[in-house]
Amino acid sequence: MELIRAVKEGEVGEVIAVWSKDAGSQRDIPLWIEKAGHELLAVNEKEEYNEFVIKKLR
Amino acid sequence: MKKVVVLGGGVGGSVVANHLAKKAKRGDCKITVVDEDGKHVYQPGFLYVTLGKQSPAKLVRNERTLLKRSVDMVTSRAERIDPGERTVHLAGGKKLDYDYLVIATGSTLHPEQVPGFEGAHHFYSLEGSIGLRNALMKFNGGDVVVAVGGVPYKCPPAPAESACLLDYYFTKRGIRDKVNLKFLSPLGRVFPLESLDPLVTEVFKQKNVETTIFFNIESIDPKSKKVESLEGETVNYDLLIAIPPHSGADVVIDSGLGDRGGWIPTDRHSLLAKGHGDIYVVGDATDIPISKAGATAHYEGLVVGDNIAARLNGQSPPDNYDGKVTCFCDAGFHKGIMMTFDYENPPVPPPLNRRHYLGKMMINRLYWMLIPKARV
Repeated sequence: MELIRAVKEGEVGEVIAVWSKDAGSQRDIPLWIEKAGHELLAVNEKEEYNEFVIKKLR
Repeated sequence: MKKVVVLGGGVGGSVVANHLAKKAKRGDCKITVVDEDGKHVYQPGFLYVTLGKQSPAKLVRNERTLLKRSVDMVTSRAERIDPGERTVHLAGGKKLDYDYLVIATGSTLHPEQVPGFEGAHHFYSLEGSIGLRNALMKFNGGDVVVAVGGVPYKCPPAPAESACLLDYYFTKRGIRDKVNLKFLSPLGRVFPLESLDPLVTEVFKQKNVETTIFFNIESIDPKSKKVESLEGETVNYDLLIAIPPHSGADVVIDSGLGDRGGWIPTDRHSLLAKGHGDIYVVGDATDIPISKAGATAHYEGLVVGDNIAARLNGQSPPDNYDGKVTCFCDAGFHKGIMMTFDYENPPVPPPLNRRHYLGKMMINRLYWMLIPKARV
């Protein structure tokens, strides 16, 4: 939900990082980015969470 | 005497004010609640208004009657907070100074942010719920779509609860076979709480509710009766129930205390506004990514009341908010589920039963006596 909010509020071209540790989000975030037509730039694995870096394309 | 100003007379503000009034030593502080219209609204009752089962007037009480006598009440619009001067500016030029400020200003609905929203109904305000009730009474068949117009929104399970209750409502009216119920979820699952998703998915299957995931409303075309998602899909409707986009309160935005959505960056354990040692935030107003719900505001309010009482007494704040939320959902046909969870423990999938339905009915009846008065 936080990712959708951040992307909706952001400007086209903006790069957004989302931290997530819940299992569902690990699966859902890449799926949503693809469906919504944005770009997943990186997934950085940290000790307690994963960082998804997204570029808003439209 | 220290001054505590509470902005907002909803669940969170009332609980903080009444709990603090009980906890603080007499003469330690003067508590003032500021609310724009002085009305306290029991929002979980909106769903029952839409079904014609709840009198709208019974969901509204005068906030003054819910506050302890030692708490002052000011009915006015808070226009700006000046953290440097520790002052709240009210409409008409009045000012209130504070030693501790509690921001419990809730969320504001923004249907105007979705093009074509006039083609939809919603149940997130009393007026909206009455409008939806009237539309449902006239509805005799077709596609009924429940969808979300922006995240975050209050009470994340409410749209799913609405779909279940519409199944019950149309069945009781004898027209369920003429209604196609569609539920468009903004997330990658049907229910926001992951551990409960399989249960709700099964319930929807049994109730013949069609589901689509990753559907966040971008626009509505009332003429052709189509709703489009920002993910690029289009769904037809005959009756659309859409949750309006939410933001934080104007006073938060105008004071520069919110993020882009007007939510206040808040420490999730102390509930202090980040960077401000004397401003607490409860309920929807925070940016904490948990349910924006009355139950959240209630538990947060108790923690903030305890902590301000301790600080007034020269002690360290004793409480940390652990993310506790307990809530009931009505699944229709006199069955319900109860969910309890916190930051570290997701809800355990509960049984769908009559006991939890009765629990919800009990809260609906006892709310005024127990919760705003901080008796539990």
